[in-house]
Amino acid sequence: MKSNPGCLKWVQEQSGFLIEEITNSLSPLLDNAGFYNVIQEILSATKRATGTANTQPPWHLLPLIACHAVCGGCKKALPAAASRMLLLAAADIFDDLEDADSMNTFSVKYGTAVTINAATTLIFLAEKTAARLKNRHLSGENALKIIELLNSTYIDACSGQHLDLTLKLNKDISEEDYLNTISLKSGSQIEYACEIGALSAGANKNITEKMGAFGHEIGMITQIANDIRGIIIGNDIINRKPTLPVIFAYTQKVAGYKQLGSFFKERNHETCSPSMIRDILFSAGAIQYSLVIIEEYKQSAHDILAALMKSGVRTERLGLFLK
Amino acid sequence: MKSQGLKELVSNIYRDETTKESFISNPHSFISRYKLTTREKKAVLSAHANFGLTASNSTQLEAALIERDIWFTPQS
Repeated sequence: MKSNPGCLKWVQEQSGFLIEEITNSLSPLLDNAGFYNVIQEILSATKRATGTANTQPPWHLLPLIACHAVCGGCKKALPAAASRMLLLAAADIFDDLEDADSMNTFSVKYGTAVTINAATTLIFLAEKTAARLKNRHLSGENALKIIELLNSTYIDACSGQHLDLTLKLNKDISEEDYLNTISLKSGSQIEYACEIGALSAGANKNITEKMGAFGHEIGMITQIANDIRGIIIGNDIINRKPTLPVIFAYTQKVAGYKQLGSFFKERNHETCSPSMIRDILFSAGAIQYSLVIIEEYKQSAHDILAALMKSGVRTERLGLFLK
Repeated sequence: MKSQGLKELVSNIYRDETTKESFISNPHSFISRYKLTTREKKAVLSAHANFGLTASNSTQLEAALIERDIWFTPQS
């Protein structure tokens, strides 16, 4: 049996370091116990900041994994990784407020005002945490680039969210619209996580860009796979999300595309049910097409990984994100 | 921009059973009739090798899309 470059022990160890860094970043709030506890509660939710120890794939550790791939160590990337988790937690909270239909959210428990205040604070805690890069002996230039990427993480997430919220199935929709949306929403998030890690390790421009390109491809793969799952489970159909399978079927005018259009545009359940929509998409090859697109992104990611390996980057753990 | 050739290939495979059987019996020959990049050809063949031609309620597909525990278990 081969040794596992992933391994529970390594992931939990690094997660512990990251949680410690995040917890340290809350020090400005220590004199306000009530507020500190509210922020802690937000951060300890599953898959968010301090609730991530057993999450897999360990997306929260990607900056550390990228750093380790370049220089053999992870700790230089801790402030950047912690800052990123604080920003993502804030984005998550605002996302819940925008959705406004989930009963299991922080805002239901504490109210909108407290929630917005807490999410805003997380953003500025993230900025303060990023400033701790100076303690890790990074070059000033790299530290500034990392801060810029952290801010781009949030801006692109919001930009992608806007496109996602406004993307509608109409005669002008194209596959490019969808790919641009998920590139901002998902691709860029993983891209920047990898670049942040590479820059923390002191990687040169060529390696940093390749790490970012790798991250972008796996971000796209993950989102398309999620969207296929959304079709199988049915929630994306019920929510009328124009994802890749839907756009393929509609623009290719497959059998049943008119029912598809009617269902998505007119919210019409009379002519077609969600399960019928799912059948149309499978029968038309829309799911198969989406799987082919995933394979294209996988090939691209593998090519980039091979180029990184040639440059001396340790790619074992990065490769696990492709499996 | 994804090529129209790729879209047409997938659409045609699923258009009728005869065309589907033609692809299954000789995928390489089938895809050679379409203007595809090398990467697109490989992607079509990989998707077919990994998932077959997906049908509704494919348990194989559902299983493949579930995030597997590869980080916490030893690799064979």
